Amino acid sequence: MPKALIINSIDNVATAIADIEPGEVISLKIEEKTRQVNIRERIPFGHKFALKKIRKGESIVKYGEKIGRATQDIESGFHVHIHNVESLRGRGDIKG
Amino acid sequence: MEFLGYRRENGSWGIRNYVVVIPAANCANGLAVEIANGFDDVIALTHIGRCNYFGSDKETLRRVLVGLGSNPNAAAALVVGIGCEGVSAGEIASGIKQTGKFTEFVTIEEAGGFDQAVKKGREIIRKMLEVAFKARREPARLKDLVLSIKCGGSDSISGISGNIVVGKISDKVITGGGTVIFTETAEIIGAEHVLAKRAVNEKVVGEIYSFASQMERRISAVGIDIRGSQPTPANIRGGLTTIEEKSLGAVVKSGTSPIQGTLKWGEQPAEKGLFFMDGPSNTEVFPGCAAAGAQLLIYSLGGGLPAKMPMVPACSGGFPLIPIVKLTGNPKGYEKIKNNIDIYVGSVVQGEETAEEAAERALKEIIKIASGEKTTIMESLRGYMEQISFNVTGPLV
Repeated sequence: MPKALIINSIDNVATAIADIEPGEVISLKIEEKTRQVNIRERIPFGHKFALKKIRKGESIVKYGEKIGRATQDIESGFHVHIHNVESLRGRGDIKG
Repeated sequence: MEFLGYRRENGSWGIRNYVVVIPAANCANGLAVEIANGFDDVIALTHIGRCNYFGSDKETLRRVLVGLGSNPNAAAALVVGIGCEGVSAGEIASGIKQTGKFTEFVTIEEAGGFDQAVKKGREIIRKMLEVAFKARREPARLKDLVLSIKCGGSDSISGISGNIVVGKISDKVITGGGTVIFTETAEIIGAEHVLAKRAVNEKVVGEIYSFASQMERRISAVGIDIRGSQPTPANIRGGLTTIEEKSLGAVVKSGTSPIQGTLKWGEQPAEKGLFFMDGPSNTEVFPGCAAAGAQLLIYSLGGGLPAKMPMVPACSGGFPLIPIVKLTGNPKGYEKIKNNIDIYVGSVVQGEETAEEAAERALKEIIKIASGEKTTIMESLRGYMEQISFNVTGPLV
């Protein structure tokens, strides 16, 4: 059973379907291609990690769709969640 | 595919056979409870609807209370009031009566006091139960099913596990000629374009975008970032990071069928097919869908819910008029809350079963539940009902 899934080939994050510990090397398959990611911090079940370096301001892509924007540089294998990603919708705190 | 249901006077099909007592406003809740007290198969649909709602909120109250009484899972409906409601018990009863259903109303004012109203109400309930007991199940088709769907405790994998299976169930009901209703407007924000592609015409495209932008405007007017409320704390714990991510996973549960039209909260679809209903994402979904005519709701649960969740009604939303079928596609979540789950499809994400096979298996279970061969876990919690909240948009005055 795979430990994580990529949903769309243009995604820059994968979703863990098991708890993953730092140091683990995860193999991911998408459209017959297999890629490997070194996990750098603990990724709980159901959470996401970066498949490559994502720069501050870049879109986070899952399902082949933009799900938000990086608020800091995120290195490959790191946890991608509310501490480093902001939403672009429902933002009453931003004017305009 | 067939199920066994109760054919109602207006051609709709019930999958349960209750008598409902509906307060015309919240002040009559106590009267409804007292009238229903001690009877099996009688449900007092207590709610927070006020006598002084105005404008569109007043219309919502009328539409939803008439809709709940008209739901085919009710064999008969008694509307009760004090006598001073903004939408009177008599008006609500006459709305329900248009379905041809055995409907009556009682008010404290006309009965001459609370005790007299209880006595009169209980006499009517006895007559209604006699009629309900005579109803027999008959074979019905998939086209006679009105299914509603909701997700809860969603996590980062809901959109690639449980919701995919629910989407396939939805497609099967639509292919069979039936009706499916999905709702939760905040949870289409960021996924409007995905739904718009499936709309049958430009009018429906416009309605989808308009419901989402109205909701987003109301959210933004509060002046804060919605994160923490949408996604909810449970969603964030489960790995969902933004409302966009949540929405993209949530809309998966509506399958791939064309979207026939949109509905106001609690509005009944005029034809068969897949409908999006405007409304909140919390437990208001249950009465909203029931008022729209749904006989059953599939509740797709993620793993974002607390560990060892006992029979937590607060999280599950008790609403006895329509069976709430709890399904999960999260293997880890299932381990935590096994005794809360009716249908488990975590096998899909584990690669042990295809989503198609899981949907086929789940639909068979749903048919058994619809036919009364099985009851849901929520139904086994008889007596528990969360008070119905209303989707009001105006100020409470």
